Amino acid sequence: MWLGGIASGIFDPSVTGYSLSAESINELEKEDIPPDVLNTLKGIQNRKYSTRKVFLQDIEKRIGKDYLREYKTPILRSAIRNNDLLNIALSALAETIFLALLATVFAIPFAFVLSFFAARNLMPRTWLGNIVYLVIRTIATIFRSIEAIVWAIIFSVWVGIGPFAGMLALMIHSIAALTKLYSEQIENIDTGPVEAIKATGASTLQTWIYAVIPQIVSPFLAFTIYRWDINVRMATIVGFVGGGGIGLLLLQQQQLLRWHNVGLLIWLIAFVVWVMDMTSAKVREKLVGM
Amino acid sequence: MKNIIKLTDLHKIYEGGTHALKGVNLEVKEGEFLILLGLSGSGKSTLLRCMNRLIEPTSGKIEIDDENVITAKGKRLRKIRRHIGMIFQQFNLIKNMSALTNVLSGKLGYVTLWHAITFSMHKNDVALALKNLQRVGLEQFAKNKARNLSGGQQQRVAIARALMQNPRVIFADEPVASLDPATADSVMKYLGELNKNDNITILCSLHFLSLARKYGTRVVALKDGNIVFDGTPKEIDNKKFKDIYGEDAEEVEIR
Ligand SMILES: Nc1ncnc2c1ncn2[C@@H]1O[C@H](COP(=O)(O)OP(=O)(O)OP(=O)(O)O)[C@@H](O)[C@H]1O
Ligand SMILES: [Mg+2]
Repeated sequence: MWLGGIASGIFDPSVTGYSLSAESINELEKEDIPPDVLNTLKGIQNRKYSTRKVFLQDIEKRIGKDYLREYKTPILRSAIRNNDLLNIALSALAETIFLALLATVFAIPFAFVLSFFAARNLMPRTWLGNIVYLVIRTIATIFRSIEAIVWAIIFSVWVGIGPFAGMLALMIHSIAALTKLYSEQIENIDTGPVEAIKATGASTLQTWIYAVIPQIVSPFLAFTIYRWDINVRMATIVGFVGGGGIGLLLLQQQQLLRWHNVGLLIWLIAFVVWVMDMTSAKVREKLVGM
Repeated sequence: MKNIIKLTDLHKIYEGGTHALKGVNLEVKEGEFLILLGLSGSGKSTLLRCMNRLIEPTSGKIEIDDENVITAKGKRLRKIRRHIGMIFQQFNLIKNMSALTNVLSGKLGYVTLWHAITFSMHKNDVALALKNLQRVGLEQFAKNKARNLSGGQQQRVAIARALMQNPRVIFADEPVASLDPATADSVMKYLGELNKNDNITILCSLHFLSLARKYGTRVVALKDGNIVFDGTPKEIDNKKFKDIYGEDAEEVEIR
């Protein structure tokens, strides 16, 4: 039913559905119709939408076919013509993209600093160096293996349902993931310049700034853009558990059984993810090939 | 002339158990151009890197310019290092930075962190870096990224970076091993000039006897972590050569 709804929302160029006229609602009110059925019918009428047959078969049995009008709707066109939904969807989508961007941007400084202490080649092999390295690596691995959606649930309990919880969830997950990616990049640098700068009498921090950072900026940028790309996708999922944005809208529409809208939203998400994927791949290619 | 370097019973045993230096004793006088010879694996790089503590020696004593290098830590170690220029086979420049910035980095041992970040705003440093680039004939390449320079040019930038340190000593670990013979000779010429004009003591490991004869004032040969020859380049005859490189070795000349 669920999948069928989504599938018809996506693939059916037009669906057959039922709707009610305002008069028939008035007439139904006089009759002995259970209040929940009446409410559903009113809801359908208010939305000016047709609804899938399967959801109305039960109702049809109770009130008879006369009250229901059957007609076909080309779903995408009707959904797009419905400016309200499109506007809401676009702003929800913008919210999701910004949420993902903020989560990425806020994660960068944390991951950047942590990655130096999680890089085996930079940490001295003293007991303190080993402990710092191990602790950061272990925490990063644990935090990364907890799904973003779980973090979203944790944070929505903590700070309340909404985009802020979603952002925090993505941020924690991104810090852990970026720390790992960044530090592995640091471990792969050419150690020659590090040795050379150290030999001039430079301090540790100066050595990092002069010999390590210039070697890692472009791969770091590439990873960060890739992460933003991942975060947009994750933000959609996180929205499902109350993280806000297009995910939340999708969930609402699905719960209201408005499969046409669900279809439109999925199209929108697919399009945005595709565009982001393409651009981030292009930019990454440029950066790493530098 | 006084001793600028004094090594006493220097040992290095790597973590894997390789005994790379087996009690090296060496005194180097100020102004010498000392050539280190030896087969691959004989311990030349290990010796040079122990002397400025890029590698931690296992035991022994190192004195450079009357400073005890072994016991130095933190600031004092940095102060010792800043008077020791180091040249590497792979040049070890920061590839995506300009030649000028690479030369400026030679000054890092002298400046604060903030000064290092704002190097390009310090006119004196930039002027000195340009002058040093000029000395190696590369002033017109100041703005070029290091990665776009040829091998010989990169090694000259590395020499300019070492000059920026105002060094008393330069350690060069096979500085010309990745260069063609003509370029190799031109790079050695710059080192020879620094040795003569600036009285900088040079310790340089090489694989070519011809270059050793042309530029060296003294030759020290290592074999399995021991010094097996110490003398002038002229003293290396066929027998000495075979002592250093083994019975089957033949001298290959490059000019
Ligand atoms: N980081 C290291 N860990 C363990 N063993 C090492 C390390 N570096 C060098 N060695 C070993 O120490 C010995 C001396 O090596 P070293 O690099 O000093 O020789 P070299 O004379 O510089 O040789 P080459 O002419 O090839 O540069 C070799 O047996 C080498 O395998
Ligand atoms: Mg070597």
